[in-house]
Amino acid sequence: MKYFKLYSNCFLVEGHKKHIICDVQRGEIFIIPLALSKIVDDTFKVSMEVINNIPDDLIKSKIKEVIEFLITHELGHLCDNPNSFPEINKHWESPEIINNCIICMDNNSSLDLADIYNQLTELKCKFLELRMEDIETFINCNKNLNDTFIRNIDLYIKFNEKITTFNFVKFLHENQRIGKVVIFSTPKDIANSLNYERVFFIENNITNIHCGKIHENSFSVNIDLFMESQFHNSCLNRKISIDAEGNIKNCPSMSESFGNIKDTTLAEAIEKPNFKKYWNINKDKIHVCKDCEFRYICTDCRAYTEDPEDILSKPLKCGYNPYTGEWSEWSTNPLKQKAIDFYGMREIID
Amino acid sequence: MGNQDTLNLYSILKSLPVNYYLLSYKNKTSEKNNMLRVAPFSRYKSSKSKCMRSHKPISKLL
Repeated sequence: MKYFKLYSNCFLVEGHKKHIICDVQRGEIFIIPLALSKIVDDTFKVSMEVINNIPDDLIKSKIKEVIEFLITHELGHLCDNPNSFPEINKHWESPEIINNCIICMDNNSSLDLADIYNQLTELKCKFLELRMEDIETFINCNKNLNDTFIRNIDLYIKFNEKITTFNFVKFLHENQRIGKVVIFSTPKDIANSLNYERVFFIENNITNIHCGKIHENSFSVNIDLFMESQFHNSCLNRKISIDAEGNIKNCPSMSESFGNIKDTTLAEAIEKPNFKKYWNINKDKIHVCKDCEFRYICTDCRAYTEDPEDILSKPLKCGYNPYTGEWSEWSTNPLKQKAIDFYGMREIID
Repeated sequence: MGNQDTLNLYSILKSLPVNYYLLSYKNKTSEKNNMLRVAPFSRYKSSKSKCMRSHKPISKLL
């Protein structure tokens, strides 16, 4: 007797309007209408023989069509004993005390990057994002990165005239840890004329208030995020940031500070009350998101929410409505206007 | 697996607009039947290809 079973790396995630199957091994998702997902959900309990005996030919053919689709796309298989294929354990652990860090610097900042790199190494931090006004600031300190755990650095640099003659090919070759460089506030004609691999020239200005945009392009389908999201906040879990004044925060877009890097170590800041208060807010606890089928592949935002007074409110800059299954422009949603004014972000959307 | 299982599955399907959905989609297209297999499912690619070494975006500035 044959039974249909989804492969263990393919997870059915239920939303209010739609369900998805996440293939976390291949990094793909398949959106499935609610009615059809029930078939996937229930075939495990019902053998193909039973399905073949369904008296209604139309329903029978539709069920077999769905199963054929899933098998064709290698999302599941037929087997004699489904219990021989146990589910992947969703328990998630990480040896990193801090996984990623964002450091913001302006021309008035006096941060000791070498010391911060050393502290991040002690915390086993692997990913770094630097927001700077001048690429020279990074170059002057990059040799200190050699002895760190940092695996990837994303650079956000404000455009200046020196950028036009800067040798990015040589720079990226000598700094293999850099994943991408984003040059913002670039004049349009220059943005169109420069073309380097892993370097993106953006015309718009980028500040902390621009963060938190949620759209399909930022979805990440992989087993690490899928499992982490089951229990933890997909953005703030094991994140730390330092703003241009040296204040240690959960996120540069947030106001709450846990000390200044001049007199507080990162390790001390992490142990302060409330620093970890967002870490375990997973999407299943957040209003609206808990009914969204994308909740385990989407990275959250707690800095800008629809209701600034509610720690569990939906991210402000998400335009997806899981109750209709449709995307819309978040900034024109009448229900978000109060929060937009509260955060003073009217100028970035008009 | 017995009749009860068949009934459970059958009652679930009966209570859901499976036929309605499929047929309504079919009516909207003049394509062959095999379009049905693709239509209810859509596929997204992971953002892994966007210069990302981390398992998730560190920020969402762009």
